[in-house]
Amino acid sequence: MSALILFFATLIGGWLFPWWWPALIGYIVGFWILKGPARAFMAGFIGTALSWAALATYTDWQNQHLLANRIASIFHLPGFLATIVLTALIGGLYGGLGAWSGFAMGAYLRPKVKSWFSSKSEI
Amino acid sequence: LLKLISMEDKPIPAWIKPFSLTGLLFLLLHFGNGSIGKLPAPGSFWNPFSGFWRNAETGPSKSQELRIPGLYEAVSVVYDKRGVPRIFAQNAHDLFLAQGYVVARDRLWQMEIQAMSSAGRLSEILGPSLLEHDRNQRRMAIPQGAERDLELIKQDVESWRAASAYADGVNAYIKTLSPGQYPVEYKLLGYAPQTWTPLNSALLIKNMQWMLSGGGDDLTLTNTLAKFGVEFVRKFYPAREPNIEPIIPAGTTWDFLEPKSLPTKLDSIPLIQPSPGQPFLPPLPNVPQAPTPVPVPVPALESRPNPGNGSNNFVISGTRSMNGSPLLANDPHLNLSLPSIWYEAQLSAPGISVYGVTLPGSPGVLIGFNQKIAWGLTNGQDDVYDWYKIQFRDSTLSEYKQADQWKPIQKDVQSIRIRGSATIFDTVLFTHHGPIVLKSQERPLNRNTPAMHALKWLALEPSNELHAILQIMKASDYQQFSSALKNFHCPSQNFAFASVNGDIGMFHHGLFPRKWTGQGRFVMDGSESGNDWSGWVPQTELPEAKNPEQGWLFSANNKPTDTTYPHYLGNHFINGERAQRLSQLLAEADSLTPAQAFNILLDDYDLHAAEILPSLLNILTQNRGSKNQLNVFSPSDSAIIALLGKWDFRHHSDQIAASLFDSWWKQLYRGIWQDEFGDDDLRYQWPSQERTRQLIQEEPDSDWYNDITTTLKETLYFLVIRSFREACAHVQGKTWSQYRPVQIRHLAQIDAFSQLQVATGGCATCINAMKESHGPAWRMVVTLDQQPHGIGIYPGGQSGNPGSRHYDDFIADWAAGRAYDLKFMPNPGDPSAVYSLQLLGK
Repeated sequence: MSALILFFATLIGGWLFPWWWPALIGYIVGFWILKGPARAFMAGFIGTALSWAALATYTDWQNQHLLANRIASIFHLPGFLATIVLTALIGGLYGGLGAWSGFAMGAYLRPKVKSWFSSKSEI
Repeated sequence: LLKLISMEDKPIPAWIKPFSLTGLLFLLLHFGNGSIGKLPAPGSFWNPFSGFWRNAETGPSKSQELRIPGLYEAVSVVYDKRGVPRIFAQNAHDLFLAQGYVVARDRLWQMEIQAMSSAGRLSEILGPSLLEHDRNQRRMAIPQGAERDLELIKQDVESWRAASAYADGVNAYIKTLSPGQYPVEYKLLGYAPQTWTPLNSALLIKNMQWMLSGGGDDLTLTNTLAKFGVEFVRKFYPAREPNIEPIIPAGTTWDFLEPKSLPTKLDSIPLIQPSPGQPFLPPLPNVPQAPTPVPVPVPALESRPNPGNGSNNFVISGTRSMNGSPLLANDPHLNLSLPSIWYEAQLSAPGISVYGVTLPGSPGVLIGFNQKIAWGLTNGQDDVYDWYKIQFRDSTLSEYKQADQWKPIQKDVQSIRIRGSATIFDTVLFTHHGPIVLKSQERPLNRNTPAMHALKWLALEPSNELHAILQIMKASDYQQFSSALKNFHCPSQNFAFASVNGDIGMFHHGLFPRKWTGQGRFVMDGSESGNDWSGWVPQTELPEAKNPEQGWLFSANNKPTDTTYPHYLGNHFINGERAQRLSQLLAEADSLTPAQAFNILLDDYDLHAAEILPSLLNILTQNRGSKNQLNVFSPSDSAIIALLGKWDFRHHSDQIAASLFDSWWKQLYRGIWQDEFGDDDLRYQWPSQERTRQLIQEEPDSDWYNDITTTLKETLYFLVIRSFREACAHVQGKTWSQYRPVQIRHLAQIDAFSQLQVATGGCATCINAMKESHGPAWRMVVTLDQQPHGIGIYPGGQSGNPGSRHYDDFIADWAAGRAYDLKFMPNPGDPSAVYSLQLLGK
């Protein structure tokens, strides 16, 4: 579910924000929503990897592999598929690490924030 | 600290994990944005929204309406299915603004990298590996030369309007780009386009001048003279080749011949002409140390002009063409690159309607046709690039000797910014001749660069070639074309001309220093004022031919005139096989069609092979049957000999004989000369192929065949057999295109963006002068019927984007010898239009 949210968030936000958007949105989602470090990482990784792969695949198909094959050859990759996979991995890494570190920060700060709010409401 | 840690038995504080993870994330984000070593920034490069994927063109281009600041009126740009734009503007200003916009849209990265290269500013964007290139450009004073040209451009209303409007158009395009829309090379190399200036256009013209006039063999020939002596030089590097057809038909008379005004007598043409005054002693220049191979920088731009730069053009009058109208053909031979050096376009505005090829980054059309005339260029090859030995007063290098006086050296400090390290300052020394390009103990980038010598080069004199280009585009007859050339100073060109009213012509045109015969062939003594250039050849005295009786004119970088021409223009003319073959074919031509004219450009008959191969085969088989161990031929050897014997001397791509001959000749040539000239072929001028051929045919017993490094006495016969066996081993049955694939390399030497295995015919000495990475960069034939009509092709594609199908879509047709219709569209509503841009002012 969170992965799905991140998939759409990274796909739509990708057009509006700089390339590091998946890390940021992953961080926010990880901070507030996600439960558990492994689940956070997986949600961020899968969500971003899939959105980046989806756009790359669509672009590549429309482009008939022309550029992807050339880029593959620059980086000594076997072909256009490998460029898509590497794109997904890089995106996934940023999304996953964003969500994981967001979660960790949330786990540390959330209780403090809650107690701060509750202490305020007591006054 | 260790003790503290080991004694630590409290649990890790809770804040460590979230903050270190967040820190790691920031670190990765930081790396994701900046390049790591030679790798592009992973995050910004690989993300599919703004990274390289964005450069993958998806689907056909769609018509658009765009607002372009600076336009006075609306402009229509119509593209055909090959991506060639036809620009329809309502005034000249808008035309060039739209040209800048449209060319930048397809070729922005190429335009900028070539301008930066010419300016000696590559290290600024690409780092320290390009420093030597940049310093060499500054030392040759190329950027200063461009700035001086720009001053002249500014003084001429028309030129300045074109250059500044063009720049506005390029900048209007750059402003529309987000980083995600930058050409992919910017993303790979990690930088961004800068604002385009008219100076860039001047720099690109300067780059063309460097390519076509910035070379020579003064140093290598001087070294050869010093080592082998006058007789050797006289024999192997003759001042004039008498037997080759000149560009201006032999027998043309010169009405300005005024012997009194001539610097030297013309009845004898000695090899080294004494300068007026003292006898000339060939100075021994500081021979630069054998250069170690230059490490290939990121974009390995050429370090010296390609000595094979050259071209063919010819014109046929209506009397010899099929339909009774003149025909013009042209194929400039240049380095083959991707993106291509040329960009095809039609420019239409009131008073201008021209179709042809443009240099990306420079306004106008350089080769092409308008509604009345057509023109084509080949390089003039005149010697406008000389070296002077400088005598410094002392090691401070602040004074030098000139005509028995000490004159101050002008110093100019250049700052070279380097990406990722501190700016370097370099002092360029100037004499009245020109700059000192190489200081002692420095490694030359260009082989003909003597240390501590001054360079005198025409390209450093201010000129405004743009003015000429703009006038040529508008010319409608012979007279207008002739006067349009006035400002075209450098590089000198052979301008072939044909018009719809039936005239044909050839102009050997440029600005030429008045030289005494032989002046500048060798490195000269710079303290002797008689060696200085003095004045210019008047424009009215330039070689020119109009409507000759023979009905045709051609040029192939050969000598412009016969020996009766009063001025000395240098000795770099290519008096070779190409010119000979071309004149043979044209003399035979009768009722020529455009397709036949195009086939002449594709002619791959090798006169050199036809001249020498029968002699070599004779020598090889002369002692057959004797007990000589050398010529016991195996069946496979005999098969090869038979194959060579049957060869028609054509360098077709499927010929094995062509590979064998090429290899055989190269091994033999090396075998004859390497012992004398050594491994270092940069230091001396090796004798030409023609002269070597002549030696073999006329002096079979010459001592030059003996390898002086052995105690044996080698003979021609021995060398021929040895090189034959080497060639057989070397070629291994490869066809010509397997043995010599043509490489069309990306400007930044990125293999994945290059075409490295193009199979096509032609050879260095063929009219179709195809070499490994150098050859016909544009082929064009125009027939001058009531309206000119052209066919043409260049090896590349209109788009500079490797993610576009128009990046290299012409190459297969080019390699196969096909050509496209260069369709002039009279108006934007033409049915062959595929999509269009409507450019509106703001």
